[in-house]
Amino acid sequence: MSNKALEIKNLSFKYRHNSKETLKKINLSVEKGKWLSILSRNGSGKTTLIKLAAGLLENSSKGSIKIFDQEVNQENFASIKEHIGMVFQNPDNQFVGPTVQDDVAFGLENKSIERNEMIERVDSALKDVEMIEFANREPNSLSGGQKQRVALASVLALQPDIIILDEATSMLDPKGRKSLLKLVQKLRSQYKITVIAITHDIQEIEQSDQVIIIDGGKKKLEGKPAKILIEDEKLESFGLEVPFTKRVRKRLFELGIILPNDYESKEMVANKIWKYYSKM
Amino acid sequence: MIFGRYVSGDSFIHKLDPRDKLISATLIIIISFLANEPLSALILGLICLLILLVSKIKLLFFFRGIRFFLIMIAFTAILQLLFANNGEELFSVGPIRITSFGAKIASLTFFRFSLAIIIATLFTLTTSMIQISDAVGYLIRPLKIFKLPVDDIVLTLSIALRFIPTMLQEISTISDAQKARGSSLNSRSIAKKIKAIVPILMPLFIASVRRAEDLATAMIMRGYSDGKNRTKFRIMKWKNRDTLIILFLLFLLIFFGITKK
Amino acid sequence: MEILFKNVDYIYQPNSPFQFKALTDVNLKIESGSFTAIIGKTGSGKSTLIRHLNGLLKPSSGEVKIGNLTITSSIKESQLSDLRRKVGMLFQFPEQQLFADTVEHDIEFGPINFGTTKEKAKKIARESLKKVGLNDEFLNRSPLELSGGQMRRVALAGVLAVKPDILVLDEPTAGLDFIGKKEIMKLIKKLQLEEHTTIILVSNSMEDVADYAEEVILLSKGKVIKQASPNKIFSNKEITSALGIETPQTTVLAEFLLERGVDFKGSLPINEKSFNNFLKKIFEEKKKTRIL
Repeated sequence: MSNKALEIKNLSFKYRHNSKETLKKINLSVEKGKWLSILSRNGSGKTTLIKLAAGLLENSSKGSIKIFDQEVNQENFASIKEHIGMVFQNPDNQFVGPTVQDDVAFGLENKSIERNEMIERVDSALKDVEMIEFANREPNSLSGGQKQRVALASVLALQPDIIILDEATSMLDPKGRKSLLKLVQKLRSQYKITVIAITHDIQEIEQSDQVIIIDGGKKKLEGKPAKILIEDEKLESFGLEVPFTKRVRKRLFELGIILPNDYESKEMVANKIWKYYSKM
Repeated sequence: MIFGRYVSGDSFIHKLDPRDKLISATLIIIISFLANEPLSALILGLICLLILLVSKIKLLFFFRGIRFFLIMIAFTAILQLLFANNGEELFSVGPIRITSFGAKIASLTFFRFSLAIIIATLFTLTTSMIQISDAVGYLIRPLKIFKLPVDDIVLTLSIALRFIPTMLQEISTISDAQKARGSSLNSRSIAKKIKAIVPILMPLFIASVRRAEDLATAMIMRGYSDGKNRTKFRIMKWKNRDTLIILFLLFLLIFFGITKK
Repeated sequence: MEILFKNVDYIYQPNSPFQFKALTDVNLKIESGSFTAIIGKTGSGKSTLIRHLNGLLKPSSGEVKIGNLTITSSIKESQLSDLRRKVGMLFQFPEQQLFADTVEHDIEFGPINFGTTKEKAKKIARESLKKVGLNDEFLNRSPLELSGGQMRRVALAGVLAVKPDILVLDEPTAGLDFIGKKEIMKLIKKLQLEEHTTIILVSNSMEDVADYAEEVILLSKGKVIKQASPNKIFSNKEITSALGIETPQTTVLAEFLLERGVDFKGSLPINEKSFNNFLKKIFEEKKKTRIL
C-alpha cells in the first residue's frame, strides 16, 4: 500500500446554488499514520473539503483527490470507504444501534462478519475506547463524550486505515473533548491509523503532526503545530484564537522580558519565566 | 401512565424470550374470552397475579399506572350493569333495575378488559423496546414469502424505537424553550393550545430531517448498503421453559374451549 | 429582581421506579443586577436548577422567591405568566428551537405571546436584532439559511425581545468558534452593564466564568457546594480538585510559578487581566528586593 493516505491536488469546489467557490485550489498530502488537523473558523469550507475527501460529495472539478493512490469518485466509493472511518459532530445522530454494543456491531453486520468474530471485535473495540462496562447501555443514558467514544469504537471495529474526525469534539464539554482527543492519539499510535481532524479550536491541534489553516476556501498556512502556533498575527486575521502561552509571552515583552518565540506548554513557559525571574 | 414503558430488571419474566412473552400475552388475552365462568376466571386471574409477583414490579406503582384504564373499564361495566335489562331481577332501586344478566356481562367486561390491560402492561414493563422489535421481526418473517422486505422493516423499526427517547427529550427541551417565551401550551383554550403546537413541531421536524441526513451518512460510511446479507449480532435464545409456558397456555386454551358452556 | 432559594428539593417522577432526586436542600441568593455563573459536572443539577427560575419546574419542597413572587409546589400555571416575561431563558443549542419562516417572526413570538401588539413587536424585533449585532437585512431571511453563529444570535434576540430583567443562559457559547464565542460573551456582559439585566450563566468554560462572572455557584450531585466569588472558588484547591473542576489556565500557570518559588502574596490570578497584574507585581517585587 502506498505511503500517502490522502493526496489532494489542485482541488476547487463550488456548490450548485452558490456563485462563489467554496474551495479554491487546495493542495494537500498526508502520510500514512500521521495526524493532520484542518483548522479554520466556521464557514471556511473545511467540512466541504472533508466530505469531498471521503467521497460524500462529488468532485466536479479538475483537481484530484486520492486515498492510498486510488482516485476518489463514485465508481470507487465502495472501496474508498473501506479505508475510512468517520466520527461526526452530533453524538446522537450517528448512534444507530439500540445499545452500545449493537451500535458497534452495526458496521460488522453490514460486512456479513460471522457472529463469533463480531462479538470479539465489538468487545475489543469497546475495551479500546474504555467503554466496555457500558456495553449494554442505551444511548440516552450516556453523556455526549461517551457517545462519541462509542462512535469511535464503531469505526474502530471496522479496522480503518484513516479516521476522520468531523468536528467530533465541538459539542462536548472541555473534559469530554480532551479525553476523546487523548484517546484518538493512543489509538493512532497503537494501530498506525492516519487521523484527519477538522476543528475550529486551536487548542486541539497540539497533538497533530501537520496542520493546515483554511480561510475563505484557500489554504493559508501549513506546518507543524509548533510553527503554526507562534503565528499570532496571522492566526488573529483568520479569526482564530492566539494560544494562551503566546499571549503571556506578549505580556512579558511589554514588561521588558523577552523569551524566545517558540510554542511551548504552560509548564515549559513557567520554567522559562522562573529561570529569568530567579536570575534577576 | 406506564403502558409502553420498560422497567429494567432481572426477574424470571424479564429473562423469558420476548417471542415467548409476545405469544403468551396474546394467548392469555384470547383465553380470557373463553373463560366465562367464575372458576376459569379465577384461574386466569391467579396466573396474572403470579406473573405480576414474579416480575418484581412494585404493586403500588403498577396499579397507580393503570388506574386510568381500570376506571374507564369500571365505568363501562357499570353502564352495562345499569342498562342490560334482560334476565331475572336481582334488586331494584327506583328506576334502576339490576338483573342477573347485567351483573354477568358487567363482571365479564370488567374482568376481560382489565386482564388485557394488565397483561399488555406487564409485557411492555418487562420487555425492552428493542426486544419487542426483535420478537416482532422474527414473528413476521414468514411474510417474506409475499416479498415483504422484513429485514428492512425490522431495522427501520429498531432505529425508530432507538430515537423515541431522544425525540421525547427534544420535545421537552423545545417546549420548555417556547414556554419560557410565553407560549400558551398550558392554556385551557383548545385553539390556543393548537396554535402553540406549531412552534414545537416545526423545530422537531427540522431536527428530524437533519438527523435523518446525518444518520444516513453515518450508516453509509459504516458499510450499510441494501440491507441484504447482513449477519446478526443480536440473537434471541428460546429455552425449554419458553416451550413449556406456551404448551401450558395452549392446554388451557383447549381446556377452556372444550368446557366452555 | 432578587432570587432566593430556600430549602429547595426537586424529585423527578416521584413514587416510581424512575424516581430521581435532582436537587437537595438548595439554598442560595442571587442579587439583582449581578452576573452569576453556575458550574458543576454533567448531572450535577444545573439544568434542573435553572428551570426553577421561571417556573418550568416547581420545587418538590421548599420555595423559590423571585422578586415578589413565591413559587412553591402548589403554585398554579396561570400565576407564572408574568414571571416568564421577566425571566428570559436561552437553552443549550437554542438554534434548534427556531421555528418561524422568517427571523422577524421568530423574534416576535415572545412579545406577541406576552400581549404586545403586532406593530410594536415588529419594532422590537428590529431593536433586538440590532442588540445582537445583526442588521435589518436578516429580518426577512429564513432562520434555516443562516450560519450557526447567526442562528444562535437570532435565538438570543428572541429571548431579549421580551426585555427580561433576568437572563438565564445555558451554555450559550457551546459549539461556536472563537470569534462567535467572544462576541456572545461580550454581548451578555454588555446587557448586564448597560441594561442592568441580572445574568445567570451555566458554563463549562472556566475561562468564561473567570472572565465575566462576579459570583459562582458550584453544584455537585444536586447540592450547592459553595457560592462565592470566582477568585475564592478557583483558588480553593481542595474543592476544585475533589470535584474535578478545571481551573482557568492563568491560575494553572501562576501555580506553576509559585511552586517553583516565585514570591507572591495575594490571591491567585484567575483571568488574564489579573494574571497580567500578577506578572507585573512579581517582577516589580523582585526588582525591589534586588535593589535592597
